[in-house]
Amino acid sequence: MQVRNLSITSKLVLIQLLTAVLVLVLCLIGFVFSDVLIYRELKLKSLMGVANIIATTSGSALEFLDNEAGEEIVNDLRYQPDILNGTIYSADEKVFARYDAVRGKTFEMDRSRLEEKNYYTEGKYLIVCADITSGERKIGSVCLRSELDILSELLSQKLKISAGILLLGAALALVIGLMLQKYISSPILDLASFMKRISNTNNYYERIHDNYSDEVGVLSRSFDGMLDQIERRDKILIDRNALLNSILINIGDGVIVVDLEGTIVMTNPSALELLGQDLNGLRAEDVAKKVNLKSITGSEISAVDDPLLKPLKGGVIKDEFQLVSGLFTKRWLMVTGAPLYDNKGSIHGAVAIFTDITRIKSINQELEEKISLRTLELSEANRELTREVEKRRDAEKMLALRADELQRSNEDLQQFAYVASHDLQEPLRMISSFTQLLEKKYKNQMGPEADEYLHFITDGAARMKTLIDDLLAFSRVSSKAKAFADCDMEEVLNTVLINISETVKKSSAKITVRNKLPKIIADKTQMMQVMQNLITNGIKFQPTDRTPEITIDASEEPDHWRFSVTDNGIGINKEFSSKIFIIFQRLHNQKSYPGSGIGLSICKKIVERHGGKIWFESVQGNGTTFLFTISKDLPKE
Amino acid sequence: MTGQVLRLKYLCFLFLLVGLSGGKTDAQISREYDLKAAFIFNFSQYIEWQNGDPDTLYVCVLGSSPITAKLREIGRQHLFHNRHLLVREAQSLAEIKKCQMLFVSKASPVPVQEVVNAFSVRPTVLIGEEPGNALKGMNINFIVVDNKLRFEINMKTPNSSLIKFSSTMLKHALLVNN
Repeated sequence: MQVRNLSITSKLVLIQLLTAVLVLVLCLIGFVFSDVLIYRELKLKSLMGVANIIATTSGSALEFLDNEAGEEIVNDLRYQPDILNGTIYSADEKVFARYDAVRGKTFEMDRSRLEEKNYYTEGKYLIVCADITSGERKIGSVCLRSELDILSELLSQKLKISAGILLLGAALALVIGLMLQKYISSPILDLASFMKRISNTNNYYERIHDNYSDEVGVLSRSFDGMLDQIERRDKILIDRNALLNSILINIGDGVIVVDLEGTIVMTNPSALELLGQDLNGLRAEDVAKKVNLKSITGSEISAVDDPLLKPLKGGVIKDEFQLVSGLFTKRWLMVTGAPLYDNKGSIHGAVAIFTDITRIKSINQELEEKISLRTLELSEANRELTREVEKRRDAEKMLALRADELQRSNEDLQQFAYVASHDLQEPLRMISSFTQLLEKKYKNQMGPEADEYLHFITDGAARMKTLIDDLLAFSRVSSKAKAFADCDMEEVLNTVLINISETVKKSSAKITVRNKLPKIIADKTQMMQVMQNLITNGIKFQPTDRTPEITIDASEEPDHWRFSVTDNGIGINKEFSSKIFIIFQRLHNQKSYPGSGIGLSICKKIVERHGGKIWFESVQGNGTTFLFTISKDLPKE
Repeated sequence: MTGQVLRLKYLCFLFLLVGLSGGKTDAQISREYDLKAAFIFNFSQYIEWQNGDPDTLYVCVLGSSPITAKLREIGRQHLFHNRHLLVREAQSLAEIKKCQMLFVSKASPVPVQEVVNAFSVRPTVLIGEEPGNALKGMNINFIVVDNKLRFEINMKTPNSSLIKFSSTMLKHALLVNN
């Protein structure tokens, strides 16, 4: 019987017994051995003492070669019954005197064994020798042989006692072991039987409740702790299982689970409803045929593409299938199949999920039809649009051509105006100077009629000159224009006010600037022209009895600057609003308000060059406000 | 030193085997004196002199004897109890001055009685080698008994009060005039 298979009780008693026996045997061996050693030591010492006494007393006998005296000394050994032989040797190791306890039983010492120590044992005999000296000289030696029979007697006696003690000790150890083992073995046995019961009944709600603080107590409490953990884990598992079951029952998709052997082990209600049959217990390879599941093209499903078989070989499948349930009835299914792995990563089955996508499919089809119809309509509209675009493009081309023509004609016109006014100046100057010469030399000589004609000629030439100058100035707005640059309108206004200071002074005009004028990008000279023109107009067109009041203002708009010049003058009738910016158009006669009527035309042209507009707001007889804008986006050169 | 003593002992035994009676060869004579010289050296260890232990032990030999050479050899080899052994040979009493031991040889020119008288009040151990010398008043006398060299001691000599023999020595001696 193996020790391992013994009960704990037997093991404990056995340990106790073996330990006790071992300790006793060791102790007894120690005691006996030490007794033997002590006996031998004492024996050696006593024998050595006798040898030394003989050596001392026999020295003189050796010195004086007195054999009788020597014999007498060794013969005294007869009083020591355990000494069997005693011999005195002379220096040359010859026997000088001898004693034998039993006559005739002499003994020769083995001198070679006495070289290192002065004693040796031979069987049950102890032999000791002592040197005989005279002064410092060795003159001989004495050797004794003693029996150690008493030692073996002693040894056997001790061994008998030891055996008795051993038996008694072992018996006591056995009794004590049997008495004490229950304190160790019974809690362990209780624990073992409890564990066996739990293992058999699977009742993990029981507990040991051991409150002892020994190792068995710790073991019991640890076991209780483990049972707590198992109980908690069980509860979590049960809850989770219930949850998963509930999900499985209520899920709209059909779920089929196959074990590793290919047998269907679980289906949910949706699978039953979708596939029309209870498939539990069927072989996976028979399912497709049984429920009439076809590939998307309507062909039979091969084992390679079977959503239940492929996952068993580790493959994953996600594909559409059709379920033919009648001659004209078919449903579309999206089937997902995947292997099921255990916690070691090995496949132990497969799961297939069947989703009914028939409705989605039909909606998709409708949608596709609508889309294709719409696409057709759209492409038609697109073609229409393309045609429209082409028309527009042609019109734009035409427009551009017209614009080019217009620009050319405009440029030609400007060139014409400039050339005309410039070239007209020379003959005019000739007419004017010769008329003046004629007037100087022949006034009052050609009669009053001729003088009147001359006056008309001079006056006409002078007006013509004004007209030509104005025309030149007008045409110069384009031809002599300067590049746009930084332009401080405050500075512009100050220069203008200096230029017209005489006029202002004469008319006692009051000029006010409401807001600070901005810094803009513009042609500074032309800005001065506009400002000067509008302010002098304001001063000029006044009733005779009114002191002119001119207000200048500016404001910023998102993409342009806005300037205004307001007067308290005679005002302008609205019906002339389109007339006043036309070249040489005048609203008043030369006598009431002199001027050529070119000023506002120049202003308009300048403002338009600056990407702006000019207009007026007026109440007849109650002043006018001229407003103009200047673009903020002028290119700076 | 030990070797020398061993040799002495060996010679002693040979000598004893051959026997002391009858005609002696030179070798036998030499061995006899080896033994006697060794005995004299050993005697010195068992004798106390009245005037204390001398630093140097003077041994005198009266008359020519082979023992002189033997004693000198021992004296050269042994230093006993830190005591030197010095040997003086004399042909007359007048030559003898300080001696702890005086060996009166067979060839002594001075009669025994004269010697005994001369040393009656001196702590000098007188040693003879002729039968009867002990009774004549000498302290120690070598004799041969059963072919073995032995020695006699006379405890009642004129100078016995000046010399003390140890009991151990006496144990091995033949006591005369007791």
